[in-house]
Amino acid sequence: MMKKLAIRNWYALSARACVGLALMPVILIGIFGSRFSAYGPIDFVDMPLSPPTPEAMFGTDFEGHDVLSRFLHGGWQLLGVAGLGSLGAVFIGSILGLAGGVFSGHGADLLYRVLDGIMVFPPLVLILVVMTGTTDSELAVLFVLWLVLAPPVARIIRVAAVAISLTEYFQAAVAIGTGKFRLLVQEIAPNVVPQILALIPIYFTASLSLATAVHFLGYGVSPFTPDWGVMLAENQSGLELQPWGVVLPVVAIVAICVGVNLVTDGLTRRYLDQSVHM
Amino acid sequence: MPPSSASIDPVVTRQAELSFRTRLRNWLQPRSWSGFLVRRIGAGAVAVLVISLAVLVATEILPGDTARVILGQEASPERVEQLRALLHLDLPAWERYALWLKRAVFGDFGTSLVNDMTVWDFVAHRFAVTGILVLFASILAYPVALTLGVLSAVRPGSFLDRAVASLTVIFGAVPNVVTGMVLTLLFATSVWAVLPAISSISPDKPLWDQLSLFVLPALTLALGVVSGVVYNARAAMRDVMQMSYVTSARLNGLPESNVIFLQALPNALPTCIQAIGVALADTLGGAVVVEILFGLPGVGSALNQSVHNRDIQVVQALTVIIAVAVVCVFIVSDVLARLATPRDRTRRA
Repeated sequence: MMKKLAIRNWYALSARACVGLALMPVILIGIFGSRFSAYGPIDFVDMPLSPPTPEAMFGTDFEGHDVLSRFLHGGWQLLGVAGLGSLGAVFIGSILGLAGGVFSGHGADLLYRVLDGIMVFPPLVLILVVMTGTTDSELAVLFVLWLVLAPPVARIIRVAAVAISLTEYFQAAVAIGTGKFRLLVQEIAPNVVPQILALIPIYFTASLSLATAVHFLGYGVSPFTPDWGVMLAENQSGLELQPWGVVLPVVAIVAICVGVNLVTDGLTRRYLDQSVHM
Repeated sequence: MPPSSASIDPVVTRQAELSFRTRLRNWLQPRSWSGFLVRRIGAGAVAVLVISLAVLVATEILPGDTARVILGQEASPERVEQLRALLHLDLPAWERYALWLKRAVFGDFGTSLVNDMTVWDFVAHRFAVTGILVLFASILAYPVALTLGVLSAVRPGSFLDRAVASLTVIFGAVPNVVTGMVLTLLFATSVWAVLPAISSISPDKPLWDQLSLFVLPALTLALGVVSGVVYNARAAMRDVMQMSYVTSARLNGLPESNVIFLQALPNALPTCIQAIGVALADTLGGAVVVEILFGLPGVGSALNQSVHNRDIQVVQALTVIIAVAVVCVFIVSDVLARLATPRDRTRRA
């Protein structure tokens, strides 16, 4: 099938993964877009909700800002929170999960009971609950993302770690009296690195979804912040007059989520688990 | 003559002769129904307790005076003192929690800080809205998801299978807010303006007469959870279809429909039921965003509103109510999954 596509043969990527790769540049727009914007994110450009003109290519939003400039400025904070959120959650979760593979006892049991308790609950509701008690800031959003996303990571990594602790080479290492910390670092950790790496993009989309929802609901950002989630909320009422203020962030978020998911899907299938062909 | 051997028969020990501890252990063993239920309900209760602590922990761990955070920096010291007394902030944290728990067990969640209603009065009429939303979404999502999952598992690699796989990867990634916006753009504004964008529910009419307001929100919720169910249904069904008993059923000449629906499906059903349970719990969380997006006055939008107002009493109550609902969903789905597992229906010796 389609052997002429060199890139597909080279990396043996599926067609879906190639589509995903093609969507990746949207992330760059999100991160570096602010350098190319014609106006500042809070400059008044034209009448509120005016249609596209040569000056403002995608028209203006509900307060008369240029939609395109606001869109170009609006990605880095959301993507940054999502990125740090997934990196931090995978890091914390991996440490907890690896520890769960080596240490056992009442402490570990209790820890995993608490993590289960957190996982039972819908993440967004938990985020809102924590936001009640905190001062409203992006740092708080990041903290809650870790709180919500680390437990499932810990579960997955723990399963992988326990699987390794049942292998013969691990038992041999135990038999020659290797200390627990050394077992963790030398025997288990190197063998679960692929799984850990695969979790980062998966939790990036999860974290991006949650961050978008949280920003949409107005937490962690001030109303003036140019941000894709905020743009969705503020331009929703003007949807019938001037849809671009909603369309641009929607297209960007869909492109990033779907792109990352497709690439991850292709890569994990290629390198991690050959038996799963979804 | 030795004494009658019936009562000391070592094999047939009567229950009455076992010690209380042994009988309790038998009764609680995870394979028996009683033990299974006790364990599940116990774990659920623990989860609800952990969650009910979350509000307390959130207000306790983080720096700053809770009353000050609620009222804002410019509040007068008297108001702050008043609120501290009202929330029992002068008590140590565990005593405050015990006091709250004692009342909450009897269904008394206190009074809203913002609008002087009891929490029950504030949320009671919102349950119906969220209930209808979740029910509607479930009707849209699960039959379709199960059908697609099973069909694509039956013919792996077919066009349907590949299309469904691509769609699950796509819909599994897109956040609810964005799906909702796309649906609004498509069906409520410029493209085909057939449905209302913002659901303005009028309180005088019964909710059942205003179902059209629920179509887009329910569709949004459904699209959010459908991919997980499809994925799990497909994986479960594929695993079963590769088992040797399915092959031997085919070799015995059973028609393919019989093999799929009567031989294979019953063994894939428990996983499907549990996937639906997880998806239902997700729907309860997703309802927050969807209700706000479409302006539905449900439990989710009430939660968001009270978080914005820092109305701790209402937040705590709603959290616990949602937690109980989620835990109930999980317990029911576990019980149904166990009832549906063919292996568990056969009597063990």
